[in-house]
Amino acid sequence: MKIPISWIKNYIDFNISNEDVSELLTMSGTEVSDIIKIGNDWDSNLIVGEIKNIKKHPNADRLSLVSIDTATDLIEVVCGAPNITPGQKIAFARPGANIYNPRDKKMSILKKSSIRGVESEGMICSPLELKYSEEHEGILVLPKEAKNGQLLNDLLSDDIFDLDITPNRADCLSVMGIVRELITIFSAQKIDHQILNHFDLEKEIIDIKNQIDFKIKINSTDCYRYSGISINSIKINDSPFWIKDKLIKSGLRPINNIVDITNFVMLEYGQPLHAFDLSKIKTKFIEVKKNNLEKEFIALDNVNRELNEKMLRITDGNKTIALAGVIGGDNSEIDSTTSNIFLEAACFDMSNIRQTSKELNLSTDASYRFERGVPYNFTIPSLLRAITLIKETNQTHVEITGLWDEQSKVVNETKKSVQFTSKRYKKIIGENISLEKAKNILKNLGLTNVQEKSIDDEFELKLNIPSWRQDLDLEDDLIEEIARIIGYDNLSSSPMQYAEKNIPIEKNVEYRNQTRLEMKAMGYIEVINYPVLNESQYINTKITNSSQNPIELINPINQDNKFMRSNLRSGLIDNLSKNSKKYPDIESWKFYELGKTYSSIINPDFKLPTQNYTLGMIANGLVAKQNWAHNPNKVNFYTFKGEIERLLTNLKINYNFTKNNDSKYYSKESATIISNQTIVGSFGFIRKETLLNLNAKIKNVLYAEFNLEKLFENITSTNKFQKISPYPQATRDLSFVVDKNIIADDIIKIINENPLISELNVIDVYENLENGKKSLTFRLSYQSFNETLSNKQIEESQNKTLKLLKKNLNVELRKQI
Amino acid sequence: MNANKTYLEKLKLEASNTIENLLSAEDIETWRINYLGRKGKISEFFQSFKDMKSEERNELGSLANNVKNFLEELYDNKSKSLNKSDIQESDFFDYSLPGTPNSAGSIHPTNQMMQEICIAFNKLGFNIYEGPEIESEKYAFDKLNIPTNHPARDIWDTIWVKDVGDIKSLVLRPHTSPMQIRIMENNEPPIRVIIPGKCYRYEATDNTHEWHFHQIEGLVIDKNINFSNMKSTLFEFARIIFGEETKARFRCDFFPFVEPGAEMSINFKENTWLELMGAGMVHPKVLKNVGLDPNIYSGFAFGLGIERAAMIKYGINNIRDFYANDYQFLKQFK
Repeated sequence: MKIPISWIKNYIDFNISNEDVSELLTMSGTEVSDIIKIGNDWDSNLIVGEIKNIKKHPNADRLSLVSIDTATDLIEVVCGAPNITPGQKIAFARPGANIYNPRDKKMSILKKSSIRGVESEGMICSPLELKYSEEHEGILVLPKEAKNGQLLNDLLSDDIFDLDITPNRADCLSVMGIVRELITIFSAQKIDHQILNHFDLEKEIIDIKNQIDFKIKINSTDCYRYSGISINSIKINDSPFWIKDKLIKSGLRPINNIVDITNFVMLEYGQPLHAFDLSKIKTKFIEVKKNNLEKEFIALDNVNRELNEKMLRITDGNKTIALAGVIGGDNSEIDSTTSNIFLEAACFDMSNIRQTSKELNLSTDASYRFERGVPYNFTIPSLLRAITLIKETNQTHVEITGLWDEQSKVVNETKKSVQFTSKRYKKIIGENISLEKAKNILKNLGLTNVQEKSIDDEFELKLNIPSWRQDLDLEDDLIEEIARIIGYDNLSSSPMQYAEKNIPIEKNVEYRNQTRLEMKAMGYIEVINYPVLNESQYINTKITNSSQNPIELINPINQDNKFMRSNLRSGLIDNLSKNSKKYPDIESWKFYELGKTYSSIINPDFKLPTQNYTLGMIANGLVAKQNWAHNPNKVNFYTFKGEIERLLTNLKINYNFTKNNDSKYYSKESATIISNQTIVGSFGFIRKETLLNLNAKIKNVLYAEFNLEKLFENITSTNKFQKISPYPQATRDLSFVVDKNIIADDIIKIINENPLISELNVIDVYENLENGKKSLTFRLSYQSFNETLSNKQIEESQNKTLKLLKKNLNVELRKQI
Repeated sequence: MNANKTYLEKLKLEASNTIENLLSAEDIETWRINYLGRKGKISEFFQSFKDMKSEERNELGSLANNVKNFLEELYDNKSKSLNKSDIQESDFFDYSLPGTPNSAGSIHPTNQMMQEICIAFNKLGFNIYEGPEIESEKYAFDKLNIPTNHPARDIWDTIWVKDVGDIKSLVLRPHTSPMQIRIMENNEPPIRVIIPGKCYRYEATDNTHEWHFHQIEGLVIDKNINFSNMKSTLFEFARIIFGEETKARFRCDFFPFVEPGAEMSINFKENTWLELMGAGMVHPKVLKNVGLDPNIYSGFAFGLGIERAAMIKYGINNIRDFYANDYQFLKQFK
């Protein structure tokens, strides 16, 4: 919301800078997000002039030669604006003036120029050229009272506060609200100020005789109050300059003298008003109700909207003439011929207006205020303010012909009182407050003290809440009022008192951090992807034979990406594919993501879909970067497996591997990772088809995925010391010939049954022997805790192993090296 | 001299030990003559068993040959290495050529910042929890004193999730605050926790807004917690993260689940105030919602955007960089 300082200064005067005022407002909760300065850069070359004479340009039909009286000179300029007449006061820019050039969209210095052969010694400015408003159709016409030669700066310059009002503070959506805030802050912080005018909200009863036949009926509990006046003999015209000036500076476009006054009063009091053309309400009847007779409605903006039965309407008994609190109807709109009007000021239910506005996707200045709460008792004072303004500005003698004021709820119902105690203030804020200070602040905010008790140093107040502060409900709300007016920065600060300081971090949080460090040490770069997938990504990365349904978003940011990911696959594939395309020279790629994945299985603790942490890693290209001193191999299943083993070992997790069944996603070079009989992950080469289906132009991509919740359950928290033998190790290399379908694990299991084996490694594999055989070479270390092993002892125990291997797996010894 | 295996083993050991410490070509030559020369110890050994039986002679002979070959190899290697190091001493050496490429990866700046903030609060006595991202409307709004159809809901433009089985009214949590409720429901005061995690909003992305972002929520509940404690704790936190010289200020702000509500800005360079987090005393209605008596217990809660903190700290000026996952952006965060 924008409010010009000049408007505030109609009510209160002060000597501190506008920047300081803005700071005080901001600190107290009424945030001034910007101060827009009008006329900040206007120098003495911008002055008031008067159009004396208009002639046709000799060489151009659309241009005129205008002579301008600047009090000191009579200057002739070329002008193309359509709205010039002799006698007008205008904003005149002499050569040298710094003005906005709409064509170049920047400020520039005006130069003397020749336009179509005629010398122009300056320019008549449009509002946009002065950066006064966005208007550029014609010139800015100044008030008659402006003096020729007067600096434009003195006449028009202003500072405008752009305010961000929080949703609880409907009362601040008006000049009145901001003035009230300022008076309260100024007096609490002892800043000199002078109140120039008051807003009179007490004038409830006025003496107007209803001279016309017109009825009002409230037929819905969502309308609390409906007040209105009828006025005859209006002449629709332009508003006077001072009204237009305030509206423009507040960001509203002037329309005509009646509409402008409804807006003016809304900005000043916070009460939206609406003007109907009385002659267009043929039934002489207004009924506020909900119905569903008309499904469509054409509003003031000429847009046809679909209505429903929940929307509160202003009707003439039959047809809808306005949508309550949101927008007026095209069928009752005032136009240039209107002479009798009905001015509405009402109070509606906040949530009904909000719902209507949401459903129609239409937010107006009125609906914005109503949905935040407009007090029930502002209707009459606002109408009176409007009458004053209409009388003051209408050239004809206007006649107030009637006043109506219907209420559907007992107004007293909304009156409430709240307690304030010095004890609670101390408990919540941590310091004392004096009775004087508390009373002063609350009084200035409009609360009235109905009860007061003082016992020793403590006091208790009971206060009535003003109609415009429906947000004040509890004692703590009043505590905030006092604290914010004093200023949070002026309140004390003291450390918490507590016993324990050394708080252990939850294990899984630590394990995740440790995992990140391990991944980093292995050269993996961490990514964070949006956890949403499109249909193709969902289908192509789905775990084979998974029966889960996807979790779907109702209003995703991008309509295509509406599924929540159930794994990290497509994100990482996308990261790899995009980066390797963007950086073709990089030969080694390693990315990982540690993030949540979502499943439709309901977690019984939270009664929510399961959301577990998953680790995904992807690798492609060389094992590491290449340079003159280092010539690394390409990643393959076993280099990748080595990294997985390193990660699991460093996390202190026991593991083994089994065959992988996720054949839609992985190629046959893949495996399942097991820890304590539970599947904790999988890894291997991604199938070519999967990559093609995902449009990823990459090949030979390795991927691994871990369910971290399951994985971390298997972390053995401490290393247990194992005794070391004082006797030496003896090493033997053995080459075995076995059937191709025998896996190394089977052989290793049997070898490890031998208690003398202290270390085992596979040092050579040769695949292509005759008869479908392969050869595996093992390096075995033998060691005893009791003695140095003799050759004979080793031979004997080795022979037992060889027999077992022969018997169970048909393993033959190839040769001894 | 005994013409047997043991002697041969000893000879081999002695020779290999001696050559290891030799540094000059001269000494190595002396060693060669001593062991491998025509009158050297190996020749001598061959001489010693020439009169034996052919079986024994053959066995010893082959063993001795092995040793001889072994020593010759030692000699060759040693001479070569000596030559090489001689050359290097006199030659130019370029220490500046790059080493074998170090392949250190990186941790995403969001997670680094998150970790740093978690550690800071842990030092101040806070435990760390996490919570669900797909959350129920009840926890995301209702229990936090944000009723349906209240304009306060406009603060959080929300992404809604279709019903999962018979679980209805689900959202992608628009803030980490629902965890305040879950923690208070499941723990007895005193409570001092922070809750980091992802949040989502239904809003357009620009330089400073992301629909997908991270927050850290904080909650303190005890019998004697007040606004002054909140100021002190959050100020202390800001100094841990942004440096001892950091200044902090608090102004009034509105969040329906706190009263009084506040916003903290910090000033740690260039004398400008940067909004860092929302905070406030836990609203009595929220305490009642979780069964705590507001006349006995009080506390404060706060929430800050991790990306915002990271942008301030690292000088990143476009939030969109965080999740574009570009290699050159990510690799900087070692």
